[in-house]
Amino acid sequence: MTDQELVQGCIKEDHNCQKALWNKYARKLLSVAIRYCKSQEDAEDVLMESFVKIFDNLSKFKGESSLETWMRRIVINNSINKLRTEKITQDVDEALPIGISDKGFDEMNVKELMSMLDKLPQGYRNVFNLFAIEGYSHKEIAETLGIDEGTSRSQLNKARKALQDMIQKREKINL
Amino acid sequence: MSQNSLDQIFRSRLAHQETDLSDKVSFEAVMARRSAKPKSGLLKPVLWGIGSLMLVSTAAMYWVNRSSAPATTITGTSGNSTPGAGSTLTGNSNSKGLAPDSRQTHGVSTHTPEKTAAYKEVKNVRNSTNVNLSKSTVSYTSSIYSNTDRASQQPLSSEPVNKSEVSASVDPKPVLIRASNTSSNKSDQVLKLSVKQESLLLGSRFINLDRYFGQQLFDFSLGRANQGQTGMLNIAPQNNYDRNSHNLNFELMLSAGRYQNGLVTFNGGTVTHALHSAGYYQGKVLFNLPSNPNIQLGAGLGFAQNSGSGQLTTQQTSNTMKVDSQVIVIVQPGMPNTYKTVYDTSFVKETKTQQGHISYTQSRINLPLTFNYLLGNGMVSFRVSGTVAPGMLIYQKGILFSEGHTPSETQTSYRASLDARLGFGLLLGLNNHTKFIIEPGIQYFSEKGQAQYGRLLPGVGVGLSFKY
Repeated sequence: MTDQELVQGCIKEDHNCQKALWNKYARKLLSVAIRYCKSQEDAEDVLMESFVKIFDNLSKFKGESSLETWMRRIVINNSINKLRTEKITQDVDEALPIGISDKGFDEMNVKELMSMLDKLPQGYRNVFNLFAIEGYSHKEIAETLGIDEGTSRSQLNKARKALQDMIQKREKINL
Repeated sequence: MSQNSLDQIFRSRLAHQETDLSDKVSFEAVMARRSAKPKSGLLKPVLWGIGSLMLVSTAAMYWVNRSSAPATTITGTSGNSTPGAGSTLTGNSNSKGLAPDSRQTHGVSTHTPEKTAAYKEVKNVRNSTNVNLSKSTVSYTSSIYSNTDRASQQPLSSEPVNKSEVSASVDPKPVLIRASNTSSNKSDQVLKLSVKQESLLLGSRFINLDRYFGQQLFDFSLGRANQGQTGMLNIAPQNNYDRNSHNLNFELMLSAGRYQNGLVTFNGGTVTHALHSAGYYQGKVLFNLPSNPNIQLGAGLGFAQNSGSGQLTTQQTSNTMKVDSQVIVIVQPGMPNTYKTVYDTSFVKETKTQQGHISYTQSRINLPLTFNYLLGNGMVSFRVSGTVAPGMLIYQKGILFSEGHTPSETQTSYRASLDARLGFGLLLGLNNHTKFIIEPGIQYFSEKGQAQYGRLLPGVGVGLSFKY
């Protein structure tokens, strides 16, 4: 089934289409939620809450972006809202230079990358996720997180610096 | 490695990554969560609407309170008279010389009084109208004093209708007239003599303005309304509950509201440029629906009072039947004088516009039926409350002050009424059994046949709720 057929079926409350949509995107969206949430449990909770919203609001999906992008945005917004309710604070630091070798980076697998992201402070992690992985602009990040664009830029640089430090440490250990 | 490369690596490896779901996460769990969630499709617009309404009413209340005092100018009395259609001609008369006000001869009677001289005096002349006598009853023509005051020889005008006078008897008296000449004209001529002997007034009254009740206006429990100035309560009873306990609650609420420059009908008149106040007192028993504890339904007893002060304009219409009698003396040489009495009946429809300053109060009893939707379940919570209270107007009184009249009281009888209230309440827990309620809202009331004036009053209610 195409995404469009799934959307039409879900709007009509077709149980099979709803389940097909879940099977197609649940794992992918859980990965998105995990990158923002503090724990697997939180991410799973966000995922289920997001699917409730997705099913409730599919009629509002205009097709201006892909269905996956639309659903990812819902998951991201839900994740950030959950973080807000837990009063996650963000600090702003100055931009830092980046210096990291391609070699060491290439050797890292997904698990290691996720582990590195987990170690980032929540504010940096959110900005990096949105900017580097989701492709949001600083303006969009500022609107999504409720921060200034300057803060977004600053936290992105801080995240990059932190990731660079982590990679350099890993390289030293491997040597 | 550039910043873009770092981002690119993360994006390429994480953006489309998938993670296996744990046992806790399943499609069925999502659907169960979805079905447990209340549908917000209808609730949201309703809550938005109520919120907007509350905002508007609060602003309106603020505006009303800032407005100036009601007008207290007493205006004068004005009147006009409208001649009505005449009655059917039943007596002997011809078509000549009908009076401009369409009065017509109602009947003719003849009698012969004592013998009198040729010179007769006209007495008791107050008003006169033209009367045509039947030719067959008159042989000679004498003087005609029709429509003319004897003393001034000026035409007489119609006497204003005095609505407070009601008499039912007519006592025509023979009138002495001076027959200034006897006619040599042998042709039949008519002696016209129009003398108003007595009037019979049958009027209908809309408002009794004759009773004087004093300058002071009644106070009523929480408010007072006096001439030229109105103050009003700002407290009133209504309801509340506690979801954590049993489903039964008893609630007392007191609410009050007021508005300015609205329209209120009172005894057929319209009160404008006024400040109107209303108080509602209700005791109710409410229970929570077992299927949805957020919903409360209840009923009870209520009492409501309104008072106001403003400019009253009334349109009074009276239909008056007027019967004039005339005695005609027919003088014939060598013959005894003949007297004939003619009755002239006319109907006058009179519309009078009266303006004055009125202070009024109304009391109603009713049966409030309440629907509450509860938002929150803590020591501080909210609710949306709607109440409809059909009832009956049991008391109404007003005192009218108008120029040229003594203050007069008006009262009316029982009438059906309808009260309603929509409020958004804040509930504050005082202890485990009692909650204090403060509830701004909009109040509405109407009486039977008067709903077109739609009285909406912004106001505030306070009350206590006791749980069992």
